[in-house]
Amino acid sequence: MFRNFYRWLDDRFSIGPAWEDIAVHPAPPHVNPKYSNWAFIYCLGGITFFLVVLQILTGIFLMMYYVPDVNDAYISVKYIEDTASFGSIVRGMHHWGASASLVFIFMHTLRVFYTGSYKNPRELNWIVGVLLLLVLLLFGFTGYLLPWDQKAYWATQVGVNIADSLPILGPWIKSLLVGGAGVNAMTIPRFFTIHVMILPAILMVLLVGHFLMIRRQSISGPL
Amino acid sequence: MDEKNEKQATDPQPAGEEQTPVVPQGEMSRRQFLNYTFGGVFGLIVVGMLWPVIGEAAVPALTAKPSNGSGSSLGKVSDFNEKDFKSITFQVPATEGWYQHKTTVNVYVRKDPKWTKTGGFVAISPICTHLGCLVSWEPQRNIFLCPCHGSEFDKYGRVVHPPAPRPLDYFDITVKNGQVILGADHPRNSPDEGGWG
Ligand code: HEM
Ligand code: FES
Repeated sequence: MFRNFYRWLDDRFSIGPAWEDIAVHPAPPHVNPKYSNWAFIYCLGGITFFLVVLQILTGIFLMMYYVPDVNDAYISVKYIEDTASFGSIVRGMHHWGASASLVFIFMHTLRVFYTGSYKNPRELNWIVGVLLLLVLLLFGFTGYLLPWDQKAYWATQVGVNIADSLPILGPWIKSLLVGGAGVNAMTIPRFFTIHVMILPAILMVLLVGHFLMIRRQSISGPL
Repeated sequence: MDEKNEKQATDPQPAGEEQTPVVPQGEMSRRQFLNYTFGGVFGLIVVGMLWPVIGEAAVPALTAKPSNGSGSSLGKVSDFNEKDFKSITFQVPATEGWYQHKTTVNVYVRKDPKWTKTGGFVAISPICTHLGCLVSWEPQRNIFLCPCHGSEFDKYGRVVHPPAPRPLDYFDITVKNGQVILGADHPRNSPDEGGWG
């Protein structure tokens, strides 16, 4: 049955070659665990991607209950945590996934650094990688405010005051970030918008660029 | 990549198919004119899209005013003493976008004859000058302590333990009909600035 459906699709769209182009790419021995005990370091980027996909999935489902508003943010997170079925599990996945994705993107960056993979011709992909790291850090910073509890409030206070301490532009950056003179009621929907719309859009563009460049240039050679 | 297409695009134009028009010196070719027109219209559309959205995000954020408790009464003169700070909290109306509510202002107040400029009162803001957490007065140790990164300040708000870079802000105080009235907030850059006479 599936075979027939595949043939029906292939007849019309000739997906065979397209699919091969995407999926079939022989891996060199130094990234194959059969030949090298250190092949696993080439998994770190893929693991990060998996975790980011998980963040998107769990994040979307948190949005079904979370309300980005001064009066409701805290109680809606409390509802997710204490009452909604599987809520504490989904929130737990998002909460721990946030830290795990940063741990893994950092280790992936170290792998690229120590194998010298950032060198010619892959300079541009290193830059995209640094931007991806920055975007993940901003995800963590903006997401941390959303539960609107004491830890969220004061951590954001400290974070935006670090921005404030930059010379000249600091106070502007702080005001634009928090949407007012200090962390206030307007900061929650603002951080929420950045967290669930602006950063995901930037993330997608960067990830597509990252992966296209890898396909074009293939994985870097052995040490 | 489609190789055929790529080839076509890079091949030179077959001779005779398109004649390069002769353009008099100092005049624009038809193609150039169209390119500029198209670029200009495209640019206008982009600016027309970005102008309002950036303005919407930025202007309310940059023009918002912080609320403060200037002008509020902190209590009677006889409520305060020289030895210990009294923590005064009171509510002031605050407008944050569409959200109108009361926000809590916290001031630490103590009498001190040395601070004649501020009516013999030391009124200290508890907002830590490091990164903005709230300090609290520790009577056993005679210091203000910040819970975030451990900054310490003395009974005039001067730094005795980093990372805080500057003394705590102090407030003007005036006494009217026996009431202690809060005035303007003064950030301090040097450790010896303050209400000294
Ligand atoms: C790499 C990507 C992401 C990271 C690192 C991240 C990080 C975080 C963090 C640290 C929190 C606070 C959670 C807590 O303290 O328990 C949070 C909350 C939240 N995030 Fe994300 N996030 C990511 C992606 C997303 C995406 C793509 C969405 C939605 C499309 C999303 C939606 C939410 C929502 C609705 C909350 C509030 C609920 C809560 O606090 O539990 N997140 N995020
Ligand atoms: S905010 Fe007070 S010590 Fe850092």
